[in-house]
Amino acid sequence: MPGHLDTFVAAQRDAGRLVVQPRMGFGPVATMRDGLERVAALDVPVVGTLTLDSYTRVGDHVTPLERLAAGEEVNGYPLVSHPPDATRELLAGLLGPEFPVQVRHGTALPQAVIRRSVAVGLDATEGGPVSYCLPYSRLPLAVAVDAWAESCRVLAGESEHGHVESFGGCLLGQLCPPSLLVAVAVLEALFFRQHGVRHVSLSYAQGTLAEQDRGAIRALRLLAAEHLADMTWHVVLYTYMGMFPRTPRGATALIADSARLARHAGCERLIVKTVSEAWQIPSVQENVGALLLASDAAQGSDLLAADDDPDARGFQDEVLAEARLLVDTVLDLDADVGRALVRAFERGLLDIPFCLHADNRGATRCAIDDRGALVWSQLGMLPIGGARSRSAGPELRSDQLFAMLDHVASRYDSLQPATPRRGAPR
Amino acid sequence: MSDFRAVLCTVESDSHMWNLVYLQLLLEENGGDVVNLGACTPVRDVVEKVRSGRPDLLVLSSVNGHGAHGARVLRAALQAASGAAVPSVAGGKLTTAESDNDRVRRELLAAGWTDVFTGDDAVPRFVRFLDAGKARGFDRWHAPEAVVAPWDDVPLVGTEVR
Ligand code: B12
Repeated sequence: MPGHLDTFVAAQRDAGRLVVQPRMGFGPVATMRDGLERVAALDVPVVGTLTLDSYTRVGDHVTPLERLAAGEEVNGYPLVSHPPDATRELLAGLLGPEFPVQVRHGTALPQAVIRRSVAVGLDATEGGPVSYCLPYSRLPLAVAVDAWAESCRVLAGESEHGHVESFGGCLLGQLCPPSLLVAVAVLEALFFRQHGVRHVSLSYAQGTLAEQDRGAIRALRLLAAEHLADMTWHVVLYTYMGMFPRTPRGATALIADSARLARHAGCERLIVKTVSEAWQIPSVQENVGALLLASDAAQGSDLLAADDDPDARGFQDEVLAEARLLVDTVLDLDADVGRALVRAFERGLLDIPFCLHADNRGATRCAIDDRGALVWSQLGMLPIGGARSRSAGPELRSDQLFAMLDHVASRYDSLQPATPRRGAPR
Repeated sequence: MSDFRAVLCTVESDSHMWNLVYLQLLLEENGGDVVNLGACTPVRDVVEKVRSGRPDLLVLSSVNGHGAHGARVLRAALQAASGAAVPSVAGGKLTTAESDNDRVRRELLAAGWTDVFTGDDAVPRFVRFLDAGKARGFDRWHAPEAVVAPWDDVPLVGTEVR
């Protein structure tokens, strides 16, 4: 029987409801408790989050408490630094079947975080050997692979229903064609399975064009169904993970669109951003407001069958073909998924656009085409694209890069005030 | 031929790299020859690069909210090492709240940073700084005074009201 997160998500799926979840984390235990309480009290299907601070993410468990003692803030909850009993009290009376809590932590070496999580009764986590290394650390990929293998075994061995959500569907958060996101998410799920984990979720980060996203998410579900038949899995969508709109109106519209996308494409869970995203760490109030907004927007939308969505069809076929080729090519490199991933990056068969990590080849490039879709503008050594030219494109200028990063934000920030549609809420 | 040589880094806990990718291009377009040390830059790597490479400028960019503290740590390490004096600037989102920007700027300028670039006009101000630095040397730059807002409640040393 799966743990709280899987049971809860499955029940909401059966009831046709989208689960929403914040990316919320604060340094002081009292602030974190306040945040969890107010999220738990919401009258919508919601999962709680402990987002850990970045000192913890790089294995520094001393500085967070020093900074807090000096009266400064840190950007998340230092799970390993606070005493275990403080975290048990933090969760007491909240964590349970009706309120699962997940740890989101961005650590390439997750052993300390996983051990502490398990010790305080938290069995749902996030990460992956690739997705928590290349975007989050300068440690060698091979080191992260071993650390994640060990951590999966600890989680699976010491909790009954350990759940890991792959962050593979996000990577650097923006300017990555969906086929690579889908492939890494599926490959990481296979890695988790190899190391004993039976309950997973596959992520996908909202991109630049809804049709492309719907096609990509359907492709992800098809590929997951082929590979993960013996696991409990669901799909979690992330509200846009790149540069966010700066105006409250733009940010609100983007969050609402992410909720609609989640429903249209049949995602079970949505990780929601806030109106403060472009600026600073959001308050509890802003998190709560965003969750309600997302849940509300989701209720107005229904599952859109692939057959009723001709605009997404071409994207689905393309993403599925590319992602399948990427997954199969990697799995052919070695029977051990971790070793296969390391070799794939060595050879540039997996290669994340714009990623500076030393183990990333850096020969691929992403662009936004006339339709507004994310496409490969440089294929590097990727085993896709057939006979297309592999030569490096022209140098990118800083203003061109910025325009691509800003594509979504500027589109939403320039939205005019909506004229209320008939039948629309409010 | 480049106009100046720059080392680009972030703080140890900060894994954001789009800022570094972007700033490398910006520096290069403005005549810089850039060593980009990448995300989560260890302090000792920065000190080492500054000592061995003798750059004209050190650029620290951080957006995760821990940059102000990281900048203090880096400044202390540069001061403790011999031969690591270099004009240096910091910028990005240096704490977890925008309202800290003036205070952080004041603190970092006092600690010896050449200038601090946060907020909406960070990039255009930085480009003007680069122009001036290329013409006259980065160590000749006088950073505009940090703003002291009334609500910041800073004791005004040396002022007397009669
Ligand atoms: C993409 C992104 C990520 C990606 C990063 C992938 C990667 N490895 O690069 C992922 C998803 C992995 C990620 C992770 C995290 N992130 Co993040 N991320 C963002 C996001 C959405 C966009 C950043 C971006 O790409 N910007 C594009 C570049 C070009 O712009 P920029 O970085 O803002 O820099 C501009 C200016 O600031 C300026 N600038 C920057 N540095 C300097 C230096 C100088 C000298 C000058 C002149 C100018 C300058 O120039 C740039 C151009 O204008 C921002 C929010 C946003 N802006 O919308 C959050 C944000 C930066 N992240 C944040 C946080 C906290 C995190 C996490 C800790 C998770 C969490 N608690 O939410 C982890 C960090 C892990 C770590 N160890 O540091 C916070 C920081 C909060 C704060 N400072 O108060 C932000 C602001 C979101 C938020 N509101 O909570 N993130």
